[in-house]
Amino acid sequence: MSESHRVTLTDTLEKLSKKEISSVELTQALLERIEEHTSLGAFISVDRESALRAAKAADELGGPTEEYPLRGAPLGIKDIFTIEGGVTTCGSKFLEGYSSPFTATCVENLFNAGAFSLGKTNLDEFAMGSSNENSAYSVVQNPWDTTRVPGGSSGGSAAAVAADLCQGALGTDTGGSIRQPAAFCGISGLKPTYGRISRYGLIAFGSSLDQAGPMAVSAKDCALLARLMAGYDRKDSTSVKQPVTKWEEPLENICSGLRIGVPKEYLLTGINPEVSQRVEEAIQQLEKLGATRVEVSLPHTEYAVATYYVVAPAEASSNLARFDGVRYGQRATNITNLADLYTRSRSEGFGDEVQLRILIGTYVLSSGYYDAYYKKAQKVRTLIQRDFHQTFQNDCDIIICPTTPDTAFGIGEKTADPLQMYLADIFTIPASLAGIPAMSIPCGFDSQGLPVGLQLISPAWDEHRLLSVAQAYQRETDWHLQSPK
Amino acid sequence: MSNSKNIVIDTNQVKKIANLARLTIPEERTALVSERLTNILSYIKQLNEVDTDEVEPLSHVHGAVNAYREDESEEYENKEQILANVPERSGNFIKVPLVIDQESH
Repeated sequence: MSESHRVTLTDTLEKLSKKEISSVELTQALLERIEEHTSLGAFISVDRESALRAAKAADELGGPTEEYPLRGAPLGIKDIFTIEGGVTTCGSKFLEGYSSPFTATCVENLFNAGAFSLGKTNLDEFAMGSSNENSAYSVVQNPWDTTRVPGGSSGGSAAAVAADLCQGALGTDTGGSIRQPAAFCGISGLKPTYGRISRYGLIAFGSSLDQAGPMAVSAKDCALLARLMAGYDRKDSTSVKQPVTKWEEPLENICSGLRIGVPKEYLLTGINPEVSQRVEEAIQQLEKLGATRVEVSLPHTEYAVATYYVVAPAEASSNLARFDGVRYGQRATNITNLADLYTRSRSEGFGDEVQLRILIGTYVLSSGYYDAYYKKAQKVRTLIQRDFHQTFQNDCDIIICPTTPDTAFGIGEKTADPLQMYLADIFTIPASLAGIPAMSIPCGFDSQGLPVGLQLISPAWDEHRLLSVAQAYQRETDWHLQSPK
Repeated sequence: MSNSKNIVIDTNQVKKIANLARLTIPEERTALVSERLTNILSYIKQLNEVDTDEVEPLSHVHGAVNAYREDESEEYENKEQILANVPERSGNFIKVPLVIDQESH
């Protein structure tokens, strides 16, 4: 089950700054590991030449410094972020070969801090999915058990970090797509407050929900990556001006007197009891550090999945309307009229799940149904957000719960019924609807050796406390340092 | 949308929705898509149970309404890199089939 002491990104940066290793050595070793593990499907494309060039340049400039804290660090970039001159596919046939003329702001921020890309990691097509079985390129395997899914949609990034193909990677989270694969793969992943990290260059799925975030070996790694990615960007109209501090330097004694809210609605039947047990042990660990637990209530929890599966597909149907075969992407051949150009390009280019969600979204936004479905869902969303606001205002400082009701399922196990797949997002969706920060960190294993994820949810803009609690937990435990064989 | 009626998305409705979305579902898949849409939309119907009488719809989580900037244009230098992705080009123009035509609907 557990093997070597895993190397964190933070460890690696320290070794680079002390010149114990060079970026070229590190990058070569990672590229070799990627070659040895192609069956995992973690990467859609690997930028071998440009990564080695960047590594060499980083070595010549010297290791990480205060001004360039990531210098020499290779990262995996989810193939939904654009990088200028490189191909961005979004895991879709539609965008096969698409070369972006610009780099996503949050990726640019990391490059400016000295990091570079190893390659683009695999994902569910257009970020729609919870298993990475919806990629047009290949299924991704969970490194802990290759017959199982790594989770999705950021399955490639999760598998890459879990298999030590890189120590840090980027993901995106719309309804859980960073947190759930982080949980299934035994790594740490953060979805920041909505508006914290720019969405410019993050190809849109659900614009009121999408957030970029780090996926890495430790919470400290995530903290460093996130605070470098964060910041106001005028090119994203939903970007918010909020101060960012060094989240990788945890607040002292953060657990002393910390009130941990445990939502009673989350203690449902249908959770794997081993998941509940690992989460309970984690809460006890935090109580040892001085925290107290409080039972809280989020009464509209049961409507979260339904709300999300109105809002997200609706926004997706609008966002994916731009893929019409006219200006970019795959254009159907032998077409004689414009309507066919749109219809055939889209029908041939989009996979089944993407088409299903576009249909759901189109229906709920259509004339005669808009009020009953979309507007209604937006109102329930207000209530879901209000549940969190009230709980944080009156009862607790942080909410702790499982990330998922069960550990990683088998490849092919849930593909027959999309609704079953959707229902498993029950714990991650609410924080996305409310726009508040949430992260998943490993808290143990089930009896089959599969990782269990602990979810921490904080009020908006409270990333420093959130990441401090996670770092405090990881100081006392070593779940995050376990690697699959 | 009535509480008492069950939601059924039959194959004709699938075709109508698909047409709005500029998609065609192949004949052999329509039954499956119809079943999936019916299941999902039936599940979603439970939102009707929630009392939202005095509740405002949420469109932005932090209540933002708009983000303004000065109405100033900037020169963009990289046009060729954008146009390089166009499937069929003629110089700086994008080629498409006839837009206005007697047969078009």
